[in-house]
Amino acid sequence: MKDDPLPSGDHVSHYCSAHFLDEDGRPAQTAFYLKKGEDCVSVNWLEYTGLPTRSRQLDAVRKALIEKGLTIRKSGKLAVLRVGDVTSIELSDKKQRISVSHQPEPPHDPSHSGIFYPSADQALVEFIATRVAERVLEAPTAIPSE
Amino acid sequence: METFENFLAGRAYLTNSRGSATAKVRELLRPETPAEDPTTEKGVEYGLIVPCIFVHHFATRSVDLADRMNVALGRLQVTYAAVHKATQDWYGSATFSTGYDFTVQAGSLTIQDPMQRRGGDWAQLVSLWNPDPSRNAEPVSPFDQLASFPYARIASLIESVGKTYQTRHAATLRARLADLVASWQEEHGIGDAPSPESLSGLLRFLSSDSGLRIPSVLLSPHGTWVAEWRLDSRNLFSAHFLDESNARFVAVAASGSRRKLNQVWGEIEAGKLLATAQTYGADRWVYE
Repeated sequence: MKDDPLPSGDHVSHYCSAHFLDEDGRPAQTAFYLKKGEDCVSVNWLEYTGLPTRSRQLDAVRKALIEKGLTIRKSGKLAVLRVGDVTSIELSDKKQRISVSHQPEPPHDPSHSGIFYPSADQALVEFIATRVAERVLEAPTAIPSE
Repeated sequence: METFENFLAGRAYLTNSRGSATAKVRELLRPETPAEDPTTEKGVEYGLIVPCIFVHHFATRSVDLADRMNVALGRLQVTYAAVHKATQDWYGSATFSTGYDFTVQAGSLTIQDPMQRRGGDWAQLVSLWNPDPSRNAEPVSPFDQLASFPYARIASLIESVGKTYQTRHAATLRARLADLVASWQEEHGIGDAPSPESLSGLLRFLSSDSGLRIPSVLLSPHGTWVAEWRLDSRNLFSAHFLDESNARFVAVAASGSRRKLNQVWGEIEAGKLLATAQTYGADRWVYE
């Protein structure tokens, strides 16, 4: 259901354009900045797809993003994060927590979810973004081919 | 197949696609009235000047002429200035849409019948270039118009790395900046450029101290520029240049015990970034 928190052991993916990758091709902090008009970082809940392998999950995500109208380029990458790695990021204010919740966008993107930051303070958001980028699992995944 | 670089180099009034493009354009685009009314000429060959400023930042990629022209003229909606082949008079300063037919004939560019396709728009474009003196006491020269175009300013700034902006890593930095701009342009088109003001702030900062290690340079979703020095996940300093003189920073540094992280962030004048890095111990990896 909408706004349900995702299980900490599950995974999400986030599409990163080439200009959000560092020189080594790794998703950088800017990939996790909030975009204009958005209140969360858009991700896809991989286990929600019901598919058994990571590559098939990511392929389903790619197709959903394209059907939703996004332009997915092969120069970009899908960063995969474990939900618990993101929500466990410690902030100086212990009351502030990062949350990851289901934000389905039917009909094309039912696995859509969001990483919500606890503050709109841009400096804090950018600090959190550096920490989220550190949690990207090794070997960010190239965009699956057609 | 002829490369785009060869194509450019082969034109008498086009400079090589690298290096001195901006200066050459400045030299060529004289603020004079063209000898002929360009709106009366159709299908005349013009040498393309200004797109070479933008195009040369794609020069690190190996594509053939047809692809490059497609990039330069079609999808990017290039603002252009043209020089009449015979008279060397120049005209034009406009953003063309993809609706125009551009062809390459014997290595030259032909703008086919722009009036017929866009009718009144053409007059409007010309008026942009040559505003009605009765409306504007001080007509803006086409070069100035072009120079104020964000992508032209970005291109000019990138060219100035290693010149105005001295750094030991000029070639690497120029290539990285060009790649980022190309990627951005591919996604956003030419109407939404990265911030020249932010880039100016970044370059000014990087050239302010010759001992700086070359950072990882990134673009934010807002088109502003970020420099990041990262030793490992526990040691990082980054500066996000909001404009020419202000920046947000993030400093993460492991304390002596290796158990505690010092984590600080905020917004300051760009000129105080290095002092901030030193304050939080991040200068150990910001400097070579």
